[in-house]
Amino acid sequence: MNNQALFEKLDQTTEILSTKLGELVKLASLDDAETSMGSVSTNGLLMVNSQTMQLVKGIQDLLALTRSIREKWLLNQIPEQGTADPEISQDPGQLESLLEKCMQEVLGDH
Amino acid sequence: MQPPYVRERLDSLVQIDEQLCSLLQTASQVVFTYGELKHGNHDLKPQFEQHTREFYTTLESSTNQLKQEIKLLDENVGTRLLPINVNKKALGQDDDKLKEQTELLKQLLDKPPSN
Amino acid sequence: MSENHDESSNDLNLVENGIQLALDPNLITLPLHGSVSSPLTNAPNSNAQTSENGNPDQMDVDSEPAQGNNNAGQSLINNPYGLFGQMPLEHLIPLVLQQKGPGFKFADLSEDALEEEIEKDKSGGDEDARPDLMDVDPSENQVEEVPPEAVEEDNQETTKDGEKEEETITQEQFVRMRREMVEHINIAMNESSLALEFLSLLLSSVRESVALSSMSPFLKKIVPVASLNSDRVSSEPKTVEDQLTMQVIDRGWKIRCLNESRTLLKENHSMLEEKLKNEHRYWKKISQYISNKDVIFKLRDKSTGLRSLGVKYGYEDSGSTYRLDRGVAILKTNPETNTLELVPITGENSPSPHNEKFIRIRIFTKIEFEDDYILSGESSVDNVFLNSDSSGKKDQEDIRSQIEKLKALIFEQELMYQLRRECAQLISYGVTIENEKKVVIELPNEKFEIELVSLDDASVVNHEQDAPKINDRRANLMLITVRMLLVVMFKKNLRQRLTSSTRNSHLNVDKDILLIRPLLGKMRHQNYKLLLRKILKTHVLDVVETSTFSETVVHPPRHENADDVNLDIHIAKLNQEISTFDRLLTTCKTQFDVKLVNEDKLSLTLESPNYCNLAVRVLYQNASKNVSFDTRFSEFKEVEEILHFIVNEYIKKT
Repeated sequence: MNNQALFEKLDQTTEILSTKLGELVKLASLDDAETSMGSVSTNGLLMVNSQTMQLVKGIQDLLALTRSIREKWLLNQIPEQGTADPEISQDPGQLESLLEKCMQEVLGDH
Repeated sequence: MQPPYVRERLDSLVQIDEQLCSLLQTASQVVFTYGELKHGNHDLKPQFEQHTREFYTTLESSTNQLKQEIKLLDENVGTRLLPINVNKKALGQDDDKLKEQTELLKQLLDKPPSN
Repeated sequence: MSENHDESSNDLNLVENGIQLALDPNLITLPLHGSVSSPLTNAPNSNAQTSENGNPDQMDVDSEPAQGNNNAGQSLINNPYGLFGQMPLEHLIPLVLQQKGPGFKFADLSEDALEEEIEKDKSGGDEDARPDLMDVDPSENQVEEVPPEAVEEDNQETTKDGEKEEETITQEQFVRMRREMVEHINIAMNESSLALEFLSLLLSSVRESVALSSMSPFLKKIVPVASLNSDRVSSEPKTVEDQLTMQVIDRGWKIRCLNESRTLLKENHSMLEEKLKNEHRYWKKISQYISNKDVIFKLRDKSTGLRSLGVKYGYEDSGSTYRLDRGVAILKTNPETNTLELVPITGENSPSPHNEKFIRIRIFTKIEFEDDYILSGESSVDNVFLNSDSSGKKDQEDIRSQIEKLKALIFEQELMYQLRRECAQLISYGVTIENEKKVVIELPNEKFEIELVSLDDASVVNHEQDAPKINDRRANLMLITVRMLLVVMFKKNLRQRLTSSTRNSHLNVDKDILLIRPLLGKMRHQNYKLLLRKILKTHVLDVVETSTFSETVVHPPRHENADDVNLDIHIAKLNQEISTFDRLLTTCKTQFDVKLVNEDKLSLTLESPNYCNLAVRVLYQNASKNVSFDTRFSEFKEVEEILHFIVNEYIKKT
């Protein structure tokens, strides 16, 4: 089990998520008029592509994390072992007698 | 049916998923209100604050829950889960079949023979 | 010669002592101007003969004592000597004269004087000698090199001191270093004067007089006065318009980006939500229907390429050796009905309802005198199969019932497969395989047919509607028995897997597959019994009076559970389960005991080795327990004859 890895990944992604939104807003702020055309456009592109998509990707990562946990739960379970389940273990004597009767009938009761 | 404990876990995972998904929606709301604010529409300010707060609280709660889940996963490794990925074997099917047929046999023999 | 030799060796030593940096790469890479030869070979360099160049001679002539006559050594240490070597005589002689001081005439040079000088210098130390050289050098080289500076003296002193303090640097090095320093200083001076010129030019535009006094004449000639000036220029402020436009563009761009990002987020969110919903539904269904006893695993769906979960429903892990169908199905969401369904993975044929087949046994009774059979019994369809189109059923039972159905189907398939394999060997007992699909067992008065039929088969449908026949029950029982026998085969296989290390994937037909043979064997045994009874009756009872016979069925010994105490719990369980079928699976044995008048015993044991064969053992003992006959026969004719014989010979006689 690499739970450590899961934890780390979780922490990482959380951090990313929490900062990205802030960065997005910051980027969108209009400060001084000194900004050249270049910086405006790069900021804008950054906003959209990098930050937004990182937000989305972060969420997707977390969702993948939950899915992997889910798979682990469902696929790796130790099946319930009923040791002395009275239902399951047949009464051998009963089975034998049933078989006897069955054979007699099949053979035509000669 | 899966045992109830597992079902609980799965349900909480579903919850986490939904929360995470809603994060995206909240984020989009945040951006939207911010844009509105930029337009000069200043009365959306409290909304903006609210949305941002919502985002961060949801993020926090969902990640906490996720952490909890991972911890539980860790705890259960020895008892309920296998620590590694092993191909399970479908044992016991022969017993099931035998049981099934015995039942049938019993039924059949109990029925009075026709004429 | 010897003197020179001594000198040279001394010099060599000196050289060696002096050149503690003999391995200094600088030295080694120095171009050896004059001598190419090594010190040793050139030791006797005082010989005028050894000269590819005039160096040795001239060296000899000027022979600065400390350096002595060691050519190569000298050239290694002292570049100047290389220089000197190259120098034509007319340069060299004035040098020598200079060195020796005024009032010295070239003619005064003599060997003895030189020797003395050498001695003196040797005691005086090499380093003193070197600076002498240094003294000479720059002055000599003045013509060739950069104009010397007055700083030389200081250099020499400092270098002298430096040399005394540190390890001796070679003269070459020293000279080089000094040259470099000189160059640097020159450059520095040039730069600074340039800077000064610049400043004064600048100044000239402001304060002419001051500038003129500081400008060099060269500059004055070249550049007119006041031609360089500097001013501070104020930057042009953006017009308000421009600023506003910039701001507007700025804002607009940012807002547009914000909007885009918002749209992106929203789109992604809705997409994600949709997907999440689907996924959650899938997982919910799985968690609902699949217990943790089912074997689920991840696999890649070949048709769609997606990864999904699969269920293993085959009996492979429970003892089956059927290889034609692996018994794996994928859990897929049916897009149309939006429900989960299990789609088995098979090679060629996909099981549609048309392909689902199950086993059906039919019993035909022979009509006397007509050599024809009529259908007197048919086994019915299991309920499991009837749920194929469960449109009325709710979702909840879908997956589980699908799993059950698939399990049953694969079981039936395997059953038929094993039956066919078994019956291929039984042809001598009246078992045939028709059309590769149907197994037909013929007995004197009955015929059994076993085949795989699909649900759609007309006869199946009709069977449901027909009135129940006599032998329906028997047919059903037979079917159940055969199924259970297959399970017993599985269990035996499991037991073998657990106990032995070998694992055979193909069951040995003769020994392992026991499905029809026990049943058939028992039936045949019955018939044999009948026959034997008749034979006995005719040959013994009717002939010998007051004889009766009794039949006993010989049973096999029971399996004791106490034996299993030491075994693994699973093996013990398997043992027990298998042993419950022992009665069914063992060959039959019936014993006919004929009681004769005089305590003779005649017993016939009817056995069926290999289930279907016939073996009769006739045992005749007379009263005194002498065994007269104990033989085995495998044909009734022989049995008849022997009985006849016994009766005639022994019984009638008494």
